[in-house]
Amino acid sequence: MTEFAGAFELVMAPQVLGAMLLAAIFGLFVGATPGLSATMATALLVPITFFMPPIVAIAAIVTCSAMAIFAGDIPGALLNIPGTPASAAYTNETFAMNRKGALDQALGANVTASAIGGVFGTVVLAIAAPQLANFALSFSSYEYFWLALLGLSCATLVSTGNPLKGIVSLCLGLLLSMIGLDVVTGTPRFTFGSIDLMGGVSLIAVLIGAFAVAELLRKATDLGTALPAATAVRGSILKGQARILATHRLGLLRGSTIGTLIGALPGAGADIAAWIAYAVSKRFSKTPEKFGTGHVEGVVEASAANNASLAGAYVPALVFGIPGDAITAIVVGVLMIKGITPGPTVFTKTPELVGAIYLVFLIANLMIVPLGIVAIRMSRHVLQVSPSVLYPVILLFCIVGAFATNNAIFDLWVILAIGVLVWLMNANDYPAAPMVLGLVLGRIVEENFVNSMIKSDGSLLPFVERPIAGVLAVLTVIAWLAPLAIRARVSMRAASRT
Amino acid sequence: MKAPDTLTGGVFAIIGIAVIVLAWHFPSTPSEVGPGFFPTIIASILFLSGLAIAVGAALDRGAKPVSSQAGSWLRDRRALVALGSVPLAIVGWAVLAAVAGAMLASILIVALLAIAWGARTGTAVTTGVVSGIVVHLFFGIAMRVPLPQGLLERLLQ
Repeated sequence: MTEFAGAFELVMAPQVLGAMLLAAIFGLFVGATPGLSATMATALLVPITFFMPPIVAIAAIVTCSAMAIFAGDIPGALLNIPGTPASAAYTNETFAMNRKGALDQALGANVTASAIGGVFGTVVLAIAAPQLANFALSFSSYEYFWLALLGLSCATLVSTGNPLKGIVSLCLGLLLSMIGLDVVTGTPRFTFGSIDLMGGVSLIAVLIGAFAVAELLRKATDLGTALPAATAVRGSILKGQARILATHRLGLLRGSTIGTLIGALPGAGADIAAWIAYAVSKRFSKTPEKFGTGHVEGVVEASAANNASLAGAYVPALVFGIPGDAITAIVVGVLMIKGITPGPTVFTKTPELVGAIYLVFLIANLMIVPLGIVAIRMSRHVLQVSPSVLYPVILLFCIVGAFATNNAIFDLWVILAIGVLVWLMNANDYPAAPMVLGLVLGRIVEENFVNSMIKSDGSLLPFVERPIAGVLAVLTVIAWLAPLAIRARVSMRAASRT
Repeated sequence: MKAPDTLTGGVFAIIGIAVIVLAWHFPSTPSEVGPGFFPTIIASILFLSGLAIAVGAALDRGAKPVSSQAGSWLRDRRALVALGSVPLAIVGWAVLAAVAGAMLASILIVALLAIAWGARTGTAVTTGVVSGIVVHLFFGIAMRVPLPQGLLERLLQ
């Protein structure tokens, strides 16, 4: 009870609530702007959170990402252009509703289902995380090594079209994490005599380079034409929503559950959750023929799923320090910069911080309804902001934000180098997220591996001798072999058809 | 910028070899697990993955030629200017901030960037002035980040 009171006191501080409100406005703006993703919003927020206490920083990130994921639905319904990839699954459906004259209903379903899905994910996070943390207290460096490797393997192999390209990206991230003084011996590695590299590569600079500068470079090659003018939303957003939610309550529950579970899986985030929830909704619908014609059922389920997945991704991130997606990788990185290493001990050492995170999630998701309605009303103006004005301001923010965290011009070369690298990688279908996960988790994997090797006098046997370590080792090997098995099966099927 | 997988895979394989060579030169320790142990493992995986991508692409006779997949932006002058303006802006800010100070550098860089991205001069200058002042107020004043003052700002003070 005292922990809850402590958490309540932390969150209700004016600084936290003020940061949440500003982060919400920022998240809604970025999410509603086609081409800017929730991950980019979070990465841009990081240099600001650098100057904040831990709970204010986390509150800002949670609120910003929840709002951005919801706001991505707005241009989808208005212009048939998803604001973020997480809304792409049902953009056609909401736009079809718009053309049928049910725009208010579509956006209302987005707002209410997003909020309910987010709250559902938060409840699961609050229930599951402490139980898992209790279990994880018995983990040693062997288990943590496998757990980090399993998380990295899943994130790399599950989320990418070509697993080899995911592995290349991951290896680059892991190698980046090794720049600087060696964790055990203190030997300088890959520093090339540069003092700036002694402390390692700045995570914030890499995040800005990978998720903002690279995105701006991509935008430069695809300036395109101006967005068409969006119609103003004038009707009541919430009118009739209670009936819609009651009618599709099962789908709402199913979408929230699917979203939370998929969010908790390393490598799968809000966009995959929405696609799967939409497909499941159609599969189990009594009227699947209505899907794609402006039917609200799939919209409710998928809208709930993508917001629920955000909270789901915090389960492995908080309990094991293993981020499930790019956004939680940023969160884990921010916590580490603040001197807090996510893991089961966080639950025993700073329970009020964990409680505050649950509370922040709850408030952020409840804020979606009032602030979301305001954002919908103002969306016509947001969509009129010209890229030629917006992108230079974003780049300035990247430059000054990267400089401000270490007061180092060197970090500008890092954002430039990483930005160009990730732009080239993305253009050639190499994903960026595994690289960031590798950078965040690299030191943890190496430290646990080296400590384990020293403990075992160079023997590899203890890595699989302990029961939980053994199970995790088997799961890791399965994660490696699964893509090969799936590919072999697909090839065999194709061969048998011809 | 689309390149053939044989090239990208080959480049990453070469990076893998380079890292292995660098890691060999790290000082040895009494323990088997020295500072070069982990980088060597990761670089070996990078080398093998890069090699597999390059060899796989070379053997894949059904793959489309890259020229047909490449974007048309390479022939679009406006896109090339916008693309070049991003790295130039980063380098330009670093140089200008030291000479003219962070605020003036920010104003100038945003205004020039906006023009390069197709904004009208008036809009570009207004955007530059507003964003330069806001960034200075936020980072320089509110967050107390010691942003470069530069010769001009020091003289003005």
